[in-house]
Parts: sequence; C-alpha cells; structure tokens
Amino acid sequence: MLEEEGWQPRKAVLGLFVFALWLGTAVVGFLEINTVLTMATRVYTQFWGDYGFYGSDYYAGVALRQFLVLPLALLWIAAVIGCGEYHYRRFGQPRSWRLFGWVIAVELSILVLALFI
Amino acid sequence: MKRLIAALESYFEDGAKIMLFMFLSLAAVIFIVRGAMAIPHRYPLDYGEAPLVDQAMHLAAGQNIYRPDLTSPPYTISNYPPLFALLLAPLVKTFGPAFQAGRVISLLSTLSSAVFIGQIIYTLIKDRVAAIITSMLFLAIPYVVGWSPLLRVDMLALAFSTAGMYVVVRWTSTRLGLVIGGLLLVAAIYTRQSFALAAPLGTFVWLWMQNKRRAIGFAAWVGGVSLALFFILNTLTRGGFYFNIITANINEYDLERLEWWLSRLLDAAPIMLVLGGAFLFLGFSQMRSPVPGRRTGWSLLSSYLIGASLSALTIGKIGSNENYLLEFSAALSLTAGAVIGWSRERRWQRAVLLVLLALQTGQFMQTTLVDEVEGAKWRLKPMKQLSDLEWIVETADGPVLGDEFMGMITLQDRPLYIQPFEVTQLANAGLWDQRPLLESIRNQDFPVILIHHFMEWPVYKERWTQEMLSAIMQNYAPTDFIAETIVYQPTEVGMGGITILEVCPGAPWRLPTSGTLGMWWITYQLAFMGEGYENRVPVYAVANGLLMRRPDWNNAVAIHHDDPVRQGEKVWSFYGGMADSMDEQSFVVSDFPPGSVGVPVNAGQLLGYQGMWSGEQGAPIWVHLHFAVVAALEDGSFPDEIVSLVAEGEPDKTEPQFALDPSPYLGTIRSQIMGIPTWLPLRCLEDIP
Repeated sequence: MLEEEGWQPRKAVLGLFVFALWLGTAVVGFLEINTVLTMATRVYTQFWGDYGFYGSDYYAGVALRQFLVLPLALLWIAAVIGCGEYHYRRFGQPRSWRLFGWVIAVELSILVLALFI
Repeated sequence: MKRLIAALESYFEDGAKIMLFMFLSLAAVIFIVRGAMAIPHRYPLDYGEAPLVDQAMHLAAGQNIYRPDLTSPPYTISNYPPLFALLLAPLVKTFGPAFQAGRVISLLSTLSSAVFIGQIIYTLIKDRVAAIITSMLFLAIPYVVGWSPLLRVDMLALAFSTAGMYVVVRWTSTRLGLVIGGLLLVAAIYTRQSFALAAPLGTFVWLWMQNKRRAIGFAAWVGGVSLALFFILNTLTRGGFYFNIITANINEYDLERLEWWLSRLLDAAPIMLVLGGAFLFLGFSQMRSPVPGRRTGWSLLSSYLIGASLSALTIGKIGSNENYLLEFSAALSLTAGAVIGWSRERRWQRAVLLVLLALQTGQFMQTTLVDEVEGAKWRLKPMKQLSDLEWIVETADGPVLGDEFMGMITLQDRPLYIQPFEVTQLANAGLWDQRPLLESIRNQDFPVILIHHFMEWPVYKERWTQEMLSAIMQNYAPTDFIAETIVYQPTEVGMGGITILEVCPGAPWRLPTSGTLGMWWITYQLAFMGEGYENRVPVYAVANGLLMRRPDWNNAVAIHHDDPVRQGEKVWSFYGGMADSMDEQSFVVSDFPPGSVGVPVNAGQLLGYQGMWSGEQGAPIWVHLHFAVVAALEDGSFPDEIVSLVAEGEPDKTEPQFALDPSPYLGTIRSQIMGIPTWLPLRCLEDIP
C-alpha cells in the first residue's frame, strides 16, 4: 500500500542512513571546534608563550582562543547547512557520497592532528 | 566484496590525500611563521652567521678571506668556498653588516630547493600530486624549518645542487642542459664543499644509465671546472684556500655524537627512513621496469640518497649541526615522492602511503614545535638583554672576543678578531700556535670577552681551549650575565680576580665550592656555577659541624653548625645538586652514604662534586652547587619544608623564615631582587668600592 503511494523502503533506509551520517559528522564537527581551539592555543604557546600563568602571554592565549570561537562556529554552521542542502539535492548520488568522504577525512585528520600538536 | 572494495578505492585515496594535504598545509604555515619570526631579528641566531658576514665585509673591501696562516690576528677561518659570501658582499656594502639580507637568501634558496625537487619528481614520474607532496614534505622537515631562515651557506648550496640535478634530468639530451646543469653543481660545490658528493654522483649515474659517453663527458666538465677553480683560488691565496676549506675542516670525529643525531633522526623521521630504505632495496625491481623513466629514475634517486647518506654521516664531527642533514632531507623527500608516484596504479597502496606520510608530517610538526620553534623563541625573546649586550660591545674600547654572539661585533661594522671554535679545533690538532693569543689575553688586550653557555651542555669547552679559558679566568672577571652569556672584563675593571677565592675576608665561613662562572641568587639561596664537567668541581664543608644525609637524598647533604651570625642559635648549611642530570648517579663522596647522621666534618673537608641536577629529570643546567643556609628548628633538626623544596629544585618558593641570607656567613655580595633568580659574579662584599 505504502509502495503504491511512492514509499520505497530501500530509499527510506538510505535516507535515514544519510541523515544519521550527516548528523554524526555535524556533531563530531561541533566537538572538534574545541580540538581546533586547543591546537591553536598550543601552537601559539609554542611560538610565543612564556612559562607561568597569568602573564600577558597567558591572556593573549586565552584571547586567541576566544577570538577563534566565532569564525569556527560560523564555519561549522555554514558547513552543516551547506552540506545538508548538498546531500538533500543530490540524495543517493556519488557526488553526495564523495562529499561525505571528504568531510569524514577532514574530521578524522583533525583528530589525528591532535595526537601530534 | 571485490566490487565494494573497488568502489571504495577512490574514496579512500581522496580521503588520504585530504589528510596529507591538511597536514602539509599546516606544516607550511609553521614553516612560514618560523621564517617570518627569525628573518627580521636584529641579532645573530647562530654561531655561524657572524663569520659569513665578516667574510662578506672583507670581500666588499677587496680583501682576501683565505689567509694561508694564522700567526697573527685576526684568527679567523673561512670554512666554506666563497660563493655565499660573494653574494652577500654587495648586500653588506649596500645595507650594512646586518643579518636579514643573508637570511632572505637562505629562505628563498629553501623555497627554490623545494620547487626543484618537486620538478625532478614531476619530470621523472609525471605525477603532479607526487611532485607537490615531495616539495611540501621537504618544507615540513624540522631541520629544513630550523635552518632555512639562518644566514648560512647550506640552503643556497642545496638550491644550486637541486637546480643542477633538475636541469640535467629535464634536458638530458641537450648539450646546453648538461653544461648549465654542470655549472649549477659546481656552484653548489663552491658554496659548500660537501655538496661535491651526492648530486654529482646521482646525475652521473643517471647519465651513465642512458649514455656512458655523455656521463663521462659530464663528469669531466664538472670535475674539470671545479679543479680549475680550485687551483686558481688556491694559487691566488697562496695556499690559503686549501688551508681554510680543507685543513681547517678536519675536526675530531665522535661516534657518540653520530649516535645521538641518528637517534634524533629516527625519532623525527621514522616513516621517511623506512620509505627511503624500501626505495633503495625494493627499488631494484624497477631496474627491469618497462615503464619509461623508472629504471633511470631509480638510479638517479638511489645514488643521490646513498651520496646524501654518506655526507650526513659526517655529522659526527665536533661542531656539526642539523645542517649536515639537509641534503639527506632532500633525498628522503625525493624517494618518498617517487614511491608515491610509482604507486599511482595501486590506489589502496597509494592511500596507505599517503596516510603514513600524513602521520610522518604530524611527527615532523611536533618535532618542529618542540625543538626548532621552542629553541628559536628563547633565542628571540630576550630583546632587552640582547640590546644590553650589544651596548657593551659597542662601547668596548678595543677588540672584543666572542663566540655565540660574535655577531654583536660585526653588527658594529667591526671585523672579527677570532672564531674561537675553529681555531680551538686547529689548536687541538696541533695546527695552530695559540701562544700569541694567550699572551694578548694575559695582557688584557681585550676590554670584553663574551662566553656563551647553553644550559644543558658546556659547548664553550669545544669553542675555547683549556689554555684560553685558564688565561681568561686568571686575568678577567665575570661582570655580567646577559642572554646566557657571561661578560668578562679585565680584573681591574671587574673588581678583583675571583677564581681561586676560597674564603672572603672577614667571613665566618669559607666558600663551599668555586663559582668561576658566577652564582645565581635565588632569594637567599645560591647556585655556585663552577667551570668544568659534572663530577669534577669539588664541594667542601663551609665550617666544622655534624653532617646529615637523609635516606632519600641522592644529591644533597646538610651540616649542622653553631650559628656564627646569630649567637647561641643553630644553623644548617645545605649542599644540593650533586648528581647527574637524571639524579641517578650521586656525586656525594662515599664517606657519607644516604642515612648518615651526626658525622663530624671539618671546614674544607670534601663532600662531593658539582652536578647538573636541576630538580627536574631531563632538564640539566650547568654544573653547579645548590647552597643554602637554613635556620635549625627549635629541636635543632632540619626543617621538612625546606628539605622538600630544596631537594625538588623549587627554591624560589622557599620562604625566608627557613632560608637565611647567606651573605653574612660567606661574605659574598647579595642581590636586592627577591623572588627572581639573579646572576651575580662570585665576589666578596668588601670588593665593592
């Protein structure tokens, strides 16, 4: 009956899978904002930071972190909405899967990078 | 399943590519920032910068830089052929003796080298991705990041060398290509003589695999031009060229140094090393490959890698640094690029290789940040101290001797009087008579002598002969400590010699040890810095008393005395830091094992030797004794608080209720600055006018 109304179980499962994948990458991406901030602070500290808390370097490090939150958050929102729309329009197409592949690669890279920096 | 794997192939390759390029891009940013930090810096960043500026100054003035003997000052050596100094000379003449122009040459040369090695891979394999990876990998290598913004010859030599290889590979069949390629290799050799091995060998083997006659002609061209130039320069300088670039470069070889560098290399580049090795041995299969360029490509890169490895082995020489690994770094990048290129048809294999190289790049970045960037930061930071040091040199009336910061001398447009490391090696080899210099030191001909001290290793002992150091210690006094450099001035200026001081006049206690390199005042505690290696500089009891060494004290003892300053009170003298840098080997004499209690000792009795234990494992500082005077508790015991604080090496937190000002006990000068470690010359209070 449902199939007569255009309901295709395979397509629905696939749609659910795509949605879960998109949601998963969005959540991981959100969590990785913190990872990127930590890495940025570490790199800053290594280049310019001095030992000891509460010096000017400490505040500069904190300021850098706070300054980066906004652009990273905007980037994340743009990526989540943009990717969502892209997947919706190209549902089931190879280009959609390719974009998933790229996003997962970037997110995985950030996690691996955090092991070194 | 096979279909699924085949379908996923391209996704994985794309993902691996993204990962690698993300890592490489970040590494490139680190490279750029590190360069941007270093290049504008006014002061020398490395021992080797000033001699090159000095040579450029001489060349700009039309003077010979290859003197055949060193019987009279200046006692300087031009270690390298003249091309870099020749390029630098017009810049020095135009912009003055600053370091920035030479650093820009070095950085541009690094970028050129990266482009050329990428072009070599593209010419051999026709794989643009592999070529870009090769270039970017090279720029990610910590030694390249660290060395590229220094005013040194190495990067220019590498740029000439890789350019020569590229021209030969790209235009193999044209006579002009071989002529120009050969001239570029000669230019590399005449920038740094060690470049006479790897690239000429690689290009020769490459040509040999294609046309033996052409290879022999090429070798004759490169060898002929090089030898002709050598004879011309050697004749013009009456043998000075040979003496400077050959004789003066044969330094003592130390296998331990080689091992140390190899272990560092293994830590930093394990995947690249494995890839290089695999390329060398498994690449034999390419000798029969039907794919165009593989056979010859392998022959070029493998022979270049072998040549670069042999050059890198000379890193065991005293005075060597990471610049000895630059050509090897280029070779490893080339072999990695070739392996990537050759795996183009096997996408899974390529994806795995890309991920491995991404991990390698991560390791490179970590090493760069921890070693190169951290090191540069501390070099760049103390601008106020550096300008103070420059002022001391600027106002010195007469020739100044220096080592790490001899660039302060060339910055004043003054010629160098000595390159201490080079002449020390010659003196050790019996090739230079240092007596005239020693006489000048004894005559106090130099208003200022600057001796730099790296915290973790007494490098100054490789830079100055023991005779020079003795003459300096006997006739000069340390008057200041700036930017990790001790400033020595003639004793009448430095208010009295202090080297053989055992007791200050009128002081109730003798001194516990020598402080030839001064002392650090750490709010009522003193670190006496002796001259020498660990376990050599003796430590003595300051007065009669009863010695105690707690069971957990590896590096320390304390002695209980009647207080000579606060009559009727009891006091402890504390001696710490008498262990190696890991606090594993104790330098306390065996008469006082851990657990000793109430052992009578006399003033001047040997307790142990100065060590490098800083209170933190793996963070050694110069050989020193950590000394404190501690008020005994009511029951006469040693206060627990100070036990833990002193023994753990955090004396700056020690409150004065336990640690007493040691000045009245020892008669030494004191600092008015509390809470911040301050260097002072070891000097008696009564020496202050």
